[in-house]
Amino acid sequence: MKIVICLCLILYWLSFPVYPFGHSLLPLFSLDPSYININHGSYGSAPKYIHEKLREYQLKAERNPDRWFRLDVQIEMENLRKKLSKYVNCDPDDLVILDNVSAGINSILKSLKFQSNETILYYNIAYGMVKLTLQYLSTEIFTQKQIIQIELNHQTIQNTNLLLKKTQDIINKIKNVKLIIFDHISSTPAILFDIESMLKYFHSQGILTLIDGAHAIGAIELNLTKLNPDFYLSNTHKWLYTHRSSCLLYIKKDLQKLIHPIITSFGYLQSFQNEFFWLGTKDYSSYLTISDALDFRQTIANEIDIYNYNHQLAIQAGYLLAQMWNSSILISNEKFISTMNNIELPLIINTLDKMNILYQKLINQYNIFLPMIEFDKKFYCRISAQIYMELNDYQTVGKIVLDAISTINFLPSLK
Amino acid sequence: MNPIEFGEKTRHDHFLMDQDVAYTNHGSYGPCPRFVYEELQRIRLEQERNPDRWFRITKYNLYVDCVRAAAYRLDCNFEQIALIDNATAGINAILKSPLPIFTSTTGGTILCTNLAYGSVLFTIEETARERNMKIRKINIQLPIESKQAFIQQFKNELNKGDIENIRLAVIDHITSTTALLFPVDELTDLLHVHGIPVVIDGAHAPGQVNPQLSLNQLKCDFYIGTFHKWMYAARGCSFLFIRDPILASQIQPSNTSWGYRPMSFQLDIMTHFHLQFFHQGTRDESSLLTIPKAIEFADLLAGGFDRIHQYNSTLSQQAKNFLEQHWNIQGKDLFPNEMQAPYLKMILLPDLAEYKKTDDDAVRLINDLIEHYKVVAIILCINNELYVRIATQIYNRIEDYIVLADIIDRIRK
Repeated sequence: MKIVICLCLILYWLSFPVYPFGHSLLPLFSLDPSYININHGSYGSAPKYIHEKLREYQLKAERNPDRWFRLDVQIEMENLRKKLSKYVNCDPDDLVILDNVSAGINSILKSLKFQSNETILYYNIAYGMVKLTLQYLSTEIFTQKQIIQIELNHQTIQNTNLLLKKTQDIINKIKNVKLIIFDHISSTPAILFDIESMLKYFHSQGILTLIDGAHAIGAIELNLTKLNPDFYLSNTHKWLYTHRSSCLLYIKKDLQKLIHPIITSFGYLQSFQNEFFWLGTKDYSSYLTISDALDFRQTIANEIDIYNYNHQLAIQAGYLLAQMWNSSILISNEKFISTMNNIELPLIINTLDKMNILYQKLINQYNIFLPMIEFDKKFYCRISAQIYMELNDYQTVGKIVLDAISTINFLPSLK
Repeated sequence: MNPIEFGEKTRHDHFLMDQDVAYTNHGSYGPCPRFVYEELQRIRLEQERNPDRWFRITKYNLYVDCVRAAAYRLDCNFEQIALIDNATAGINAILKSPLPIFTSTTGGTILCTNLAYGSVLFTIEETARERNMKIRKINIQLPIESKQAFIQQFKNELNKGDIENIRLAVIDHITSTTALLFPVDELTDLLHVHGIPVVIDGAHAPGQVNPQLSLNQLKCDFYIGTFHKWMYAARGCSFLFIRDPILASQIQPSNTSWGYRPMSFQLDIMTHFHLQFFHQGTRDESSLLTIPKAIEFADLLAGGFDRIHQYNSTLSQQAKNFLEQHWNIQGKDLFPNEMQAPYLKMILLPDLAEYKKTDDDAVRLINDLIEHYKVVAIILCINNELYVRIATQIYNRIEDYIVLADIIDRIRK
């Protein structure tokens, strides 16, 4: 009888999430406790558990590097791909792991062959690095005419129909659009797009789709079979809790033979998997922490709970800051918000110079890193939610921003 | 401070390898000492405490220190050297960049040898395919009689003519699969006389060649080297040297990223060349930052290059002598003494019933040695014979090679 009671108690204990969200989870991470991280989205933060695992892999690599690189890593990577492919619902052979989205974007764009009349489309809110890669291509490989930017504004970023209509206008004018690059969740401003509708639309037009999903995995549900993109990239070190850096690259089967890694190595001319597997001697342990990150998440809560906590916190933090600063939130429709939010800065910040001064002051004097951008003639900051954050963190930051502004002597702008 | 005692004591106190494994292949993955490994952990922890500060500010300052330390150690200028993950990244960057040698006219030829590293040859092939170029591969036949005979093979190739079309030559400093030390000075001079720029794949050279590598004294145009093989840095730490600053400003990493258009505050402390390779999105560059500690290990704990070189090269020769006597294969060297790599030696294996003399079975033997016999060795198939390429590092002693001999003998039966 006692045993039965014990077992019941254990089951009861196991069935409840072990940790509630918020500050009580901070000790699980390696962040300096005095640092308020309202910018988890940029570089991510892995829990201590992941770092222990990382050290284990690295120690194995030092104990017998030959064994590790010739035998063990291959087995671990295969298991990892199987596990990850279940998480994102795709065939394990259709995904490879790379260093980061930057490496993935370069691999795809530098592999695809374009005729001189074919064009690539992208949106003005694309990530800076993507734009730089496109700039490089338009200078060295293609021509400026072949790479076209589509302007989005306050309206079109939060209305899929208007966005697609705007895009269609450009497609009609230009014709011969071979590829379109767009975000799943853009960086700055941070917007969650309805890529399912967008993908259906572009497929019907026969346009290849390259999705920059850097912020997606671990932040929102990701179902690659349902979405059906041609190329999909997502950094696992942002929202999935892996160690920096590792990135999932998914390529539809019949396109795999077209894409080669930017680093040619031993897998040259072999299968998609072999080509991307070994890119020179380095530490691949961060890739392996993908498996451990998935385990870690399961000990914290259900996936849906993690999504919901971060999503709700981002929304509430947005309203709170907009109220404190007497400003506004960029996105009013919650279905376009993921786990980050964009709040208009206090209205005194009305030039790029002032924005940069504030940005620097927050770093130098307050140890606060708050990304800021100008979008459609207004100035916004981006906050990230996270399971170790609470609403009062954003209240603290809101006060700090007002404090910083009050002590800055903004020089009058010269005519 | 007394330098550490090499051999068993160093193995036990300063390296992390499994104590019961005979480790005779330092050359492939170069396990780093505990001293450097701990530094790697410390750097990673700092990265974690405030990632924004690290990625936006701190890492750049540390990088500058590391490049300075590297430039000082390798005797070159700060502006000429950038840190990269590995040699593969280096060769890919050079061959795939929009350099004038490739873009000023179409077509052209790349000159290389058959002894080049596998992924280097693949990269050359891919480059030739993409750029519509030809490859001229000098087929070096082993054994080589003398250094002069070796250089003559290059002269013979160049005498065939059509030299104006050769855009670039890629040669090794110490080859990987054959442990051959190229006479790089003579070869560079020869190629330069014909107006051909020279890339040296020196993955195995830094920390091994004697006298110590001086990039200033070499004359090559590009040099790719590693810190993680023979210079005690953590894995994933190598360098790309470009003599001409104009070429350095034109080189493109394979991963075109934020460094393509750096911010002005970044350019205050380093060059565009540096940033192209160092700002490639969010990555963990901790390995690159272990260079100062790696140098400290070599200079202070290990007592300096001369002491290390003395130990490693002496042990290498001893191990070679022992194994050759043991298997009665004296006089079967693939090349003369002056072309032997100091710490790497190719030893002809006796016939093994279970292993054919093929590349596939060479790999099978490597894996079997690791899995079943607690021996780490690299087996290579050269001229239809199986060789073991033995490496000597300060944690090795002659017993390691005696164990190797024993195990091979056991396998023979």
